[in-house]
Amino acid sequence: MKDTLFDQQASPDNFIHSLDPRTKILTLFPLIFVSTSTPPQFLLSFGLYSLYLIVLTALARIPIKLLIKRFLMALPFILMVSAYLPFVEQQDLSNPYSGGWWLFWNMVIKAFIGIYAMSVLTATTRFAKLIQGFARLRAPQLLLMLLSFTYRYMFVLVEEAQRMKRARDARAYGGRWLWQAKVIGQMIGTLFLRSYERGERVYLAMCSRGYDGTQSLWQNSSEALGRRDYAFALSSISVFILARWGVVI
Amino acid sequence: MSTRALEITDLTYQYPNGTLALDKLSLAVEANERVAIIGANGAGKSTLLLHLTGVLRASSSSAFKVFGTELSKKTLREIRQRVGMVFQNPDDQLFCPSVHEDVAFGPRNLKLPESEVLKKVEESLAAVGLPDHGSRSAFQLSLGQKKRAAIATVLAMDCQMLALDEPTSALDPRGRREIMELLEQLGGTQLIITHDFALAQRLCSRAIILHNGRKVADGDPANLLNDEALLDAHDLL
Ligand SMILES: Nc1ncnc2c1ncn2[C@@H]1O[C@H](COP(=O)(O)OP(=O)(O)O)[C@@H](O)[C@H]1O
Ligand SMILES: [Mg+2]
Repeated sequence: MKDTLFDQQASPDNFIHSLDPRTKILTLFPLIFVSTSTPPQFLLSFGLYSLYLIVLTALARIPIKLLIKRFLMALPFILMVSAYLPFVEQQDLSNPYSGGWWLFWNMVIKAFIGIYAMSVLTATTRFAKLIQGFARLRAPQLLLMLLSFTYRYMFVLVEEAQRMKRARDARAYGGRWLWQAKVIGQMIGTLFLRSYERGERVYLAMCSRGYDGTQSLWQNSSEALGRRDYAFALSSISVFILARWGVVI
Repeated sequence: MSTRALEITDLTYQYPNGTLALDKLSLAVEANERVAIIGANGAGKSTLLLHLTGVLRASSSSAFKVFGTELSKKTLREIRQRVGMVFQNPDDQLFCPSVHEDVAFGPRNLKLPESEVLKKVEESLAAVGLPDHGSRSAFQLSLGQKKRAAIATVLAMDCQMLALDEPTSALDPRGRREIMELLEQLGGTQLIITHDFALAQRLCSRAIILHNGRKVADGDPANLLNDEALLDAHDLL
């Protein structure tokens, strides 16, 4: 199984890829907040946010196919919470920008900006670096550990499940659905047990390398951000501020 | 007199479910000796290894000394640094998102400064022949590479003794040869659990045969592993 979620063809000489993960976190998350706080009728603002992300995409040479895949992945969820809005929400007469269609637009464009920003972040940062970036920004260690184990063992688990499925199919799996359900139930149970045992062994492996539950997995003392990082973050934030507050003249 | 690397007297261990995995086991390993531990499945080899870093604790009174230091709660930290445990399945040992982080894990636990950690990671990955693989994730490595990466994770801790659980199992001939050459070149005190008789004869100066948690033979690998009656009696043939 291949990892298509995070950057794997790291391009160390690419400007965006080589920025400190902290810099990317500290610019792309603010973009999401700024965009969320923008009233839906500020069309120019949303245009500028998108333009900013398109420029990053071009600079980082992110494949368009990858972006489309991400959007398609998120589309069902966005539609689920927004598709009904145009039909049920009534316009509030005192506010010309209320009503179902504006609400729908508001939700869709903000989801678009959010997903686009996260895609740029993950497509240009290796998972390990991203987690380290969050750790250096003092995100809770427990949360980061869970994320990092999930990432690491997701692939092991999928492979294990695929092996079990193959073994099952090789033994002429079929028959009534009740029987099938029983087999699938057993498979899930086996996977759970194996993961549980793996968890115990991983913990032993951590202990035998001196872990006692108190240390930081990602060294917090870290090198300072470079000149390029400050330049990128400052110019980006200025763009957001101008796009958000500068367009209302 | 130099201190022995390992000295175990009357080690007994019973799993919580009642299985008696080690039964009054005694053995000693000299410093800079490479010893093979051989035994059928279920003989208690892995259980023995788990005692080496204090992950499991003996059920009954016994003496357990690593480089002259008695294993206890107080000395656990020190002993864990001295003994480098390499688990049988590298997927259990490589739990970080990248190989680099995995190798850095031990040194960071030892609270080394980050520059020192980086140096150790580079040295260890170079020693196992994976100098450019640090940024990879474990699932992008072959099994042989994973096993070598797992060895790098303990080399980075500067341990005085390596304890390896079936380092060549499930490898193709090339992967197996690479591991054997690596172990030979690393030297130092090594305790190797293995079913690989060729490895035991080529690398080890001594072999210990376990059966049902007991030591049944201890001697020159060339003699023991060619003794068909002995091997047959202990499910090894
Ligand atoms: N976690 C466990 N709980 C209960 N019994 C176990 C556990 N691990 C191993 N055993 C039992 O202890 C004995 C020794 O196991 P082990 O040390 O893994 O053998 P080896 O590594 O030589 O194949 C076996 O009978 C095995 O079934
Ligand atoms: Mg075993």
